[in-house]
Amino acid sequence: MTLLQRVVAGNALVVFVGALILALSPATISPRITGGEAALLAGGAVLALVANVVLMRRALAPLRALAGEMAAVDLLAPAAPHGPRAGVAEVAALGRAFDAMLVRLIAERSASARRAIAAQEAERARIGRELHDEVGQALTGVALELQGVEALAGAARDERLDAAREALRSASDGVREITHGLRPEPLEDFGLRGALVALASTLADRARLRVRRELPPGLPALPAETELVVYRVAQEALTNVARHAQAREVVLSVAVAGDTMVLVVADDGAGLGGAPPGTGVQGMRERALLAGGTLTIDDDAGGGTRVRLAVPLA
Amino acid sequence: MSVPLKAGVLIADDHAMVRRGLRHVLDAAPDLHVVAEAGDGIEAVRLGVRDDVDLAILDVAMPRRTGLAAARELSARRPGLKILMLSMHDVDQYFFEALNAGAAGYVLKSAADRDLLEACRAALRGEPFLYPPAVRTIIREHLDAAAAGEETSGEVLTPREQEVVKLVAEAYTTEQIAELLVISPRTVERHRENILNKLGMRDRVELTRYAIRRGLVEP
Repeated sequence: MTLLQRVVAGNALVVFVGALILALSPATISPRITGGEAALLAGGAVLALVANVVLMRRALAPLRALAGEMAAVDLLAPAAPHGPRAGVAEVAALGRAFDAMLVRLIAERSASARRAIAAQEAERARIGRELHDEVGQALTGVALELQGVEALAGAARDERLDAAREALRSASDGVREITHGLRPEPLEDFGLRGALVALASTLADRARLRVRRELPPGLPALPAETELVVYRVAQEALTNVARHAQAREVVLSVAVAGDTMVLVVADDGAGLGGAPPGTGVQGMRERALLAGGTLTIDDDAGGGTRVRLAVPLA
Repeated sequence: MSVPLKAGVLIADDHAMVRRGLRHVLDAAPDLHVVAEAGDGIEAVRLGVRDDVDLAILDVAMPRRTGLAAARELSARRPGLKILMLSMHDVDQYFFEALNAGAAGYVLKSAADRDLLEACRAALRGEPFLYPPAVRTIIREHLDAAAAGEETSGEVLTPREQEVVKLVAEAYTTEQIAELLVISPRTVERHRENILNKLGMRDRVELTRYAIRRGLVEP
């Protein structure tokens, strides 16, 4: 029986029983209602109401049970879905939809955790490799150059010292390259706007790309973690432009509209061309979610790709 | 302020090993000697106002108070003091922020053994020490502004200077430009100086003004 049928049947039962009592009992109502008759009518109405409430409670009980089950879900350790449910059709359907949602949630959760761990491991491997290749080797070189240098004199000694100095400089450069990617110090030192200017300038240098900045002065301060999200999304988007877009110019703009800040990175390159989103794009989406914002990536009207991030100001 | 025979230098860095290295380089120079060392930004301000300090060399990233904040306060309290910023970061924005904070220039730590003395002398003469990537940025910004049809200050560049501007903006080094144009690196340097002069950037005040106008730093 559906929920509707149950409700209708319950109501019908109350009305029918009331009518039956009226028809079969000797009770009558005078043209001018007397006190006793009024009391009897009121009593009957109350009785019908109580009967209705009891019946409706029974009809709606499965809904309440389902609501209780939903409230009891532990988000940190969601239990396996309940399985097929008995009861009226609508409630069973709702239960099935809820179970399906739980299954999707659990799947997304573990996929996202897997992605995060894989990304972290890949990052660690990369940093380890860079430390080993660029810093470790250079330092080994320094130690070897300096080995026995006390015994040397003149040009031979100078040459060894020069080589050691060069190797140290290269180690120092390597460390700088590695830490620069890890911790956006410009963000701490200059704030969001200055850090974005620095990002644009570095990209213009390295990728030989024209970067047009539209960064109004006096941007409102955001919570530190939101600024980091905006900075990282801009960094990832600009890196993608440099790597894949074959663009000549890219526009980096930040604007405040009402209570949101909008970052746009738009290039004049090849466009998405239906390319599937990579891990970088997935990362941008997750970061946007972290800041309570939204990220959209689409083909720009004038060709090229357009990445747009909107985050709430407060 | 006249340049004394031996200029007193304050070095502020939170790493003792870096301070030690800086002291070696500076004390070996005949015209400089280290008179004070600070390990954080607050100490740097306290020592930087002393009369025997002619030049303060401040690390950008220091505990308690950043080098940029210390530079801002020192240049407000002692306008005659020359200031240089020192940092690990190869980001030209540090150069513009340094100018904005009242410093004469910005030296990359990994190039300090090569550039530091020259930077100190430029600062003591009251000239900016141009951090090379920043020159590239200035010229690129100028070309972008010209391409966008904005009014750019300065006289007309000679054809040779225009060639140099283009190559500098395309990130060629001085040596590469010299080779390409078959001229000496010294000539390239002279062209670069003339170009900056013609763009109306004779000193660090004008450089700062330019950087603010082009949105490279916020006023």
